[in-house]
Amino acid sequence: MSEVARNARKSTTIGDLPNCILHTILEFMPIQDAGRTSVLSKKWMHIWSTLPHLVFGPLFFKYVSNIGASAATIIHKILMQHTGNIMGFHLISITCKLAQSDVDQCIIFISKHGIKNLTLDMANDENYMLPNRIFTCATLTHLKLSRCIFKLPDGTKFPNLVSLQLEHSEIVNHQGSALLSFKA
Amino acid sequence: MMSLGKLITLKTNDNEEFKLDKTVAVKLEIIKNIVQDVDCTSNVIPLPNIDGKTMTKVVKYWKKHSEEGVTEVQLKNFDQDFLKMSHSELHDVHLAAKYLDDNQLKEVIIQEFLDRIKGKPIEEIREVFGIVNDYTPEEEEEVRRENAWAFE
Repeated sequence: MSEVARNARKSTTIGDLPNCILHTILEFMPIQDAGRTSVLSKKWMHIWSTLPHLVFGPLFFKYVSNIGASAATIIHKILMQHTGNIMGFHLISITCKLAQSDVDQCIIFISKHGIKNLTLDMANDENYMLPNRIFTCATLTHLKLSRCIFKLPDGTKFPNLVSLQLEHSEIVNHQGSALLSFKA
Repeated sequence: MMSLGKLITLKTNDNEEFKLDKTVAVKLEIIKNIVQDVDCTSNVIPLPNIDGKTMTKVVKYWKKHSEEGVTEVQLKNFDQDFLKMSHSELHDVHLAAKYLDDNQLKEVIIQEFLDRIKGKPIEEIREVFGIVNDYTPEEEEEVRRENAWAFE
């Protein structure tokens, strides 16, 4: 019998589901609900701390603002607890202004932890400038940016980028003048 | 290659056979690929990873969702009824959908798991899903403290 069929037979409770399904289930939840499952058991703590895709969406920022906490502090806490590869990191902060230095730290961290798929939608008043490290990140394949300014350093290349989406973003040259601008 | 209107026979690992209209079956990537590769008019397609009990459910889902003239409301009611199964049955259907590369069915199952967990207190999730708490009280306290932000 194949491994898949064998697993199917012995599975009786939700905790017996393979990790990849538990990861998918957690990724479908708002991240604060996913974080709460860490207290269920040691296995669930492992599932939480190895979650491959982290989504900080509008529900997260709303939750954080309701409890009067700092979104940046919580995001950093989650990253520090993380023990696996972070394949996807999606920061969609419609209402909450994040400091450039906080986002830089996140990007530096994930660029060392296998990031493939990065979304930054920074609805800040001011445009957000991407840190240089992202341009040389070898694992990055998909990048989606809203309200960001790129400053292209010399010899810029995304070594393995497959897809780039820009909205309300600008690419500026070394001197800071716009090369390409996407306002739509 | 098969001609239109032919039936395709799918055979599960416990030798149950399912005859499906080709138009229903080729919607699935994996079946389409097999049908393109071999002449299936005389052969059956073996499904070594799926048992008859699970395949019965999958076929029921496919048939309803490819019914002509079926309304959104009817599908919603059907799905609600269809998903009334145990965790392990759901898991079996998810594995089958994964093997058959049926993304729609996969998502429906994940969403159902999610609905069963969502908004429930920790104690209740443990009870409903038979999760054994293997933390010592001190360890559990520490995990709660580390993730205090999620428990506000």
